[in-house]
Amino acid sequence: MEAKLKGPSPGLSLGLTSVTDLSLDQVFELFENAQRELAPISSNNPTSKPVLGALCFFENSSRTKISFERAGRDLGLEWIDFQPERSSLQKGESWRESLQLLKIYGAQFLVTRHAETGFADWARTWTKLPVFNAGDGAHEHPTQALGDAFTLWKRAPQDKFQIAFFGDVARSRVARSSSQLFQKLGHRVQVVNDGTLSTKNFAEAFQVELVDRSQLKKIDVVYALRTQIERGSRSSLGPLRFSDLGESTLVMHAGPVIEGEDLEFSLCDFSVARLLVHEQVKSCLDVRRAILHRFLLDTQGGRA
Amino acid sequence: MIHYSKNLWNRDLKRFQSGYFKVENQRISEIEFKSPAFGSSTEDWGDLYLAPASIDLHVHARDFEESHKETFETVEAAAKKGGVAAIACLANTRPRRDSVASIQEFIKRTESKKVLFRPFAAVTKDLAGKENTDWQALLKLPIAGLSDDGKPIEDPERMRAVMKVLKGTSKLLSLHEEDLSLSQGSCLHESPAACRWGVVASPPSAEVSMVERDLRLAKELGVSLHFAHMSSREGVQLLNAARKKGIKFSAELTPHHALLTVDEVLKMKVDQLSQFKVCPPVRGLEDQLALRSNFLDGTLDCFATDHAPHSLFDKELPIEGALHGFSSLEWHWTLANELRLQAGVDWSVLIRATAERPAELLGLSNRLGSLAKGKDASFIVFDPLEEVLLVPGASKNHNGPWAGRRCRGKLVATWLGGERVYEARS
Repeated sequence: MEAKLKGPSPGLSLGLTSVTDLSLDQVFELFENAQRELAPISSNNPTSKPVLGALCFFENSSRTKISFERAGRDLGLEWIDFQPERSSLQKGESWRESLQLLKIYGAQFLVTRHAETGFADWARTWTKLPVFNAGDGAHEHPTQALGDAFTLWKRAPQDKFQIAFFGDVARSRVARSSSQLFQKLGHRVQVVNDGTLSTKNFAEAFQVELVDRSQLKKIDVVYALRTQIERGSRSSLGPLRFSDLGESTLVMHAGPVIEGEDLEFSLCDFSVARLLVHEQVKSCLDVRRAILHRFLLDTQGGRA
Repeated sequence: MIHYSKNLWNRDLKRFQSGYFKVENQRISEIEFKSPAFGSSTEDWGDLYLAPASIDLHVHARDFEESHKETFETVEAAAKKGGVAAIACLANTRPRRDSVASIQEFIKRTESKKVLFRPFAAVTKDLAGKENTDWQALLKLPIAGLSDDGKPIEDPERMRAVMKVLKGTSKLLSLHEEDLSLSQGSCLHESPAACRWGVVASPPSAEVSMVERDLRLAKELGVSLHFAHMSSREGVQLLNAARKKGIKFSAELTPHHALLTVDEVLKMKVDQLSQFKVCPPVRGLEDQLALRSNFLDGTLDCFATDHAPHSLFDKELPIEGALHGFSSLEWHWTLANELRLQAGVDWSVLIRATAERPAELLGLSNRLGSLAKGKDASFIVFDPLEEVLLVPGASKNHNGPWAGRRCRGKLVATWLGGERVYEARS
């Protein structure tokens, strides 16, 4: 199997904090590997212990955390589940120190989610450990973006899609990461104009087109964003409606879908083929497994 | 001792001329724009320029419980390296300068320094905006004035009250103009560049609405205000219009608002952003251009650094958790000169904004702000065109965007009261 892996890769030995760190070759290598049954890595040293990662979720998340956990277990990893809400953070301990302590407890890499932009990069600086960014504020969510892009690649590896983001893009890390990765892969990315300055700023910052809601019928994929209720935001667009879509328009959403807020109720039948939400969940799991696999190869010198 | 140069600032003719001045008992006893009778005690500066030392109205000197950020010794060293003879220090030290005793403590700690320290006293206890400090008692002390800088004075009734107390005094009311309901939690200027990073951004309206309110109140009461660190085009346009209507005020331009734009963050890595976090934020190009043109016409009549040192611990964080502020005092003069060259500022405007005007506002014109008979022999020696690398060294901490940049204008030496207190390494 090792020979079939595409390479050489610049590697993920430092983890992954931003989609901008990835080359196209790396992305395609991850996609190829995400399609495979990846076996646990066996170290060259038969007496060595399993690699230990720490899941550090400072913001609520169930899906991403379960996804990383499962992907790691498939590869023989062990996890420390750091639970900030139950830790000394309540007593004023800083995150900086919490993460440094995890290193002392033996963590060899971190998966972090936090409400602040740049947290994953700082976690790497503070601990000198590899860090995988599972969401930093409204900034990035690179493994979600890879899962999203993989979802489309599986459907048609050669096709370039026209994709429109629908919702409050300015507060969305999913929109930031996925729009950059989609563009890198040659897809045409648009943002539905909700008339706000922040959406206009987003379009300018990422050099994507603004498109009217009425144009969605002609678009291949509508990517609906989660309403960021916890950040005090409701999109002025309201939910994505069945009547917005063309006959073959695909609908993506990073989950969890807030039914009636993000998508109107009649669109929330997750068994319908055009709604890719569950496919995305599967894709993200497969991609995270491929990422951790690549990481273990790069850092442990093991054999697949 | 006599100092001679081919380029000595002549404040009457508003240009540099060949001339000399004589120093006796720390003061200028004679100044002539001709060649002196050269003797053994003549310092011939040749082609180098001689101008009055600066006065910086906006310095966070820290010390006390924040001596890990800056001490009175290190901030004084930074002032000397920046060509600065006097600094007005804001009240947000820890603990705050919000009582007579705390001001007296400040004065006692700093009165023997070569650089002149003038404290601001807080408008409200702990700068919390709830309970007034003892304004009458504080105004009897040798303070620069009153200021809650770092925070706005949100309550308009309190603003009217403090204006009334200050009316007729020569003390400053230095205002940090920010409507917190529009800017709470903000890290950068609202713009596509800020949107790139997904952080909370502050719109110009946060400044504009407060400037508008306070100009109105000042006009009603006939009081002169001091507007700290102006950042926005619309804010400075309001000041310009007020000036034309004859409303009296003074206002600061900082080097970061004058020389940088928010688009710099597009070139940064995510872990460099916290070094660009300052309040009010560095805004867009149109704001920068408006600030510059209002500096040229004297609407913004003071050049002030808003020197705000923080420890690495406060800045080596995600931008949202990092503290606001840049360390910049030690480059005060070089940054002012870089602005002069970039914006085409006349020497007379620059020297008015760095020295004369702030000296007037602090009531120090009898000693500082110009080179004239009877004034302190406090001056700077510089080459206005030599490019220098900004290398930190004087302040205790070096946060912000300046270290490592190249600017034009080499400060060769700073003399305060006839004594050389700083000399650049050749």
